[in-house]
Amino acid sequence: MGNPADILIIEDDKDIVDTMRIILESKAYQIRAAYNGKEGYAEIEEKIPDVIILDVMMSTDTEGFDLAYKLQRNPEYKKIPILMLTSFPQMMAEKGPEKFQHILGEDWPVTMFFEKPIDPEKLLSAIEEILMQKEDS
Amino acid sequence: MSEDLLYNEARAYPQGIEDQKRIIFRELRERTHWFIRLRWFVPPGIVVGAGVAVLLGFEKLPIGILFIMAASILAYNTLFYLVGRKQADKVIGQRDYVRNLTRWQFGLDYIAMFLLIHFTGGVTSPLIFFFIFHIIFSSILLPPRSSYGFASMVAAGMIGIALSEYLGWITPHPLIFGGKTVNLFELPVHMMAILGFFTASVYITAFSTSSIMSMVRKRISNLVELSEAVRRLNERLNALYVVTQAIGSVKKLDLVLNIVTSELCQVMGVLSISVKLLSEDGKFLHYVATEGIVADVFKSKVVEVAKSPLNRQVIEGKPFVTGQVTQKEMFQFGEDLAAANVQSVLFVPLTAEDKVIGILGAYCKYQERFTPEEVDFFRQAAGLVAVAIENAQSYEAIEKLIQERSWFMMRVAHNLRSPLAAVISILDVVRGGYQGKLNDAQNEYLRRADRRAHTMITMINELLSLAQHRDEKQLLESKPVDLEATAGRIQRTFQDKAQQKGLDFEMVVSEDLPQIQGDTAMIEQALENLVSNAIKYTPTGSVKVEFSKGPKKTVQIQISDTGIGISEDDKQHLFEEFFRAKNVRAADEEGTGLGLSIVKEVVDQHGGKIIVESEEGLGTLFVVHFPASKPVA
Repeated sequence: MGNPADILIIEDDKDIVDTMRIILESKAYQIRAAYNGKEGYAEIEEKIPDVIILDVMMSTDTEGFDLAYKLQRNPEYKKIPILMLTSFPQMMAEKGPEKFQHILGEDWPVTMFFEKPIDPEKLLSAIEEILMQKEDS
Repeated sequence: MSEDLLYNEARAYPQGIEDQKRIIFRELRERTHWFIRLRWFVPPGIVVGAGVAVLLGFEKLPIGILFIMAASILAYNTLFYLVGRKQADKVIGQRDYVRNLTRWQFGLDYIAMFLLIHFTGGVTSPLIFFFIFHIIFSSILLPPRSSYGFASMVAAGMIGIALSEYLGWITPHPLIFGGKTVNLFELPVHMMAILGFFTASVYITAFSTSSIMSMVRKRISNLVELSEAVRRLNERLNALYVVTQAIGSVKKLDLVLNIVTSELCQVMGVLSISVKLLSEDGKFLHYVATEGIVADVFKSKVVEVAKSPLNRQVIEGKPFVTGQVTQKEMFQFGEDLAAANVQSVLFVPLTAEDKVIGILGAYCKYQERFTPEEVDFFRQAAGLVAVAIENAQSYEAIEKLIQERSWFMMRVAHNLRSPLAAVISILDVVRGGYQGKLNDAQNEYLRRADRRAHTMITMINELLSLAQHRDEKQLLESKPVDLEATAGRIQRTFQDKAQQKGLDFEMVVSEDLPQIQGDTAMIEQALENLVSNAIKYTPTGSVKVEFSKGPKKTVQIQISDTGIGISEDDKQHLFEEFFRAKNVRAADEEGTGLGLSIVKEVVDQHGGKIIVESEEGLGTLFVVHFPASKPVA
């Protein structure tokens, strides 16, 4: 790959955005950040990123999932890999209330799903893996 | 009671009873065909009788005429037989056909009989007794007045023959035996006596057989009605049973009401059934379930109690009301009902804790249809419906509460974890040297801060998991658990950790494990907590997990270690929330004091048992028993 990969972080917690940015920039990735789903979508429309790192609960409880499904329905954007990060314990997201389960009952709209906090090495290797898969396909 | 009257009465009952009566009367009518079969014996009888008479010595018998008579009877009986066979399948409901066939038979029989009697001695003929059969059959097959009619015809016929012969209008054919003529004309008094007593006999026969038949018919009708009543009672009991079952097994209100209304609609034999619930302010009635054709009429309508006197009466405490749709002022949607062919309605209150919560309604296409028994039944049904509504509503309320609580807990978890996640991420960045190198002491303290933050996250998770499990007690998933797969996953999860600590880690799974039922994820979490503890609190030595067949149809899972052990005092508090043993705190390991509470919770929910054996400094043995699932019959 010639150019450094373009990663879009969509996350409402500035501390998380800042720390991820530091970690990812150390590997020379190009980072863009958006603080809610709407801004994130605008960023995607402007330029399709190589990877999206997406939070779940932002201004609404399921904003991350809503965006993920919106992207999946769009043929132009559906192939963008999404790494989803959430402070919901994963066990609860899977077994949790109907509101959540209803969403998760459909096709899983994301490439990877991690609980926060994710440690730096795990984050970097996840990004690497996603980019490699993308190159392969 | 005539058949006509029976049919009129039957019209007041549902279709079934009329059909049943018809079947019984049909059986009677089939005798008309039987009469045809009986007649086959008549022509040979005449031939044989004539032969015997000649042999006995009767003289000058008109054998030729008698044979012609026999041939005529054979001919018309053949005709009746062919007609009867062609019409056999039309017997049901074809009263006119049966009557005409019978009348024709009787008419022709009478002509034949009169001729035979005339040619075999008139009043002195022994054949006159055969008329009795006709009178009996006519009272069975035809209305009573016909049998009297036929009796009169017979009497008149006989008197006519006797008179005509006496007056010489027709030539008599007296019986001659040994040269002597039986001549009753010489004894007119005796002749009149015979005719008189004969006439009396036919009338008495007509009277007695038709009275007996009318009694029999009445009995048959009573029996049919009784069996119908029993059948309907049975149907109602069945309906109540179905409703009770639905209340017990179906949790969703709309489903329960669908079952209830369709069952009631069927068993009551009405056009429609509706369930209306009263609004909080008591001013409106909303249709929550409708079955039958009224369903479309009321789909989106709301009854204003003030505008519907019939509904208002029920709400104000009347035990039931019936109404005719013709009384338009009693209904808010009377015209819609009339358009849907509804003639009468029955409303009964749905009562919960002495308060009317709604109305159960039945809509019928007949006027004044609802009998006291039906009203009673409907009120019983309403009692059950009210229970169903209450049940379903409280279940729904609880479910909603659990749902809300669950969602609330999830948000709490999220919001508690979010700042911690940020703290840990920041610590990661600093400790990872992204912002410059740290000295050893700085590194060490930041490591401790990081560890404490992680402990807190684990604690939040476990606390929530505990809360979630308690909520889910009723909603627990119960499926066969693949224990071998579970053992495999546990081994893979902990192998490396044990190895890093230099511990021997052994997993033994015996082959004859009974099947257990339950929530695989929860059982796995419980076992993971136990194994994780064993490894955590064993500085040196070994950890062993063994799955085997336990006593009394259980699966036994033993988790043993050679670790620090648990003191006698601490053992008692082991499964309490937030409890941490003294030696565990001293060992300075992270821990939340929730792991074993979760284990206990899971084991309890699966009807299992957990036992702990331990000696401080030597090691600990946890034994978990899960009951084997009952074999499927």
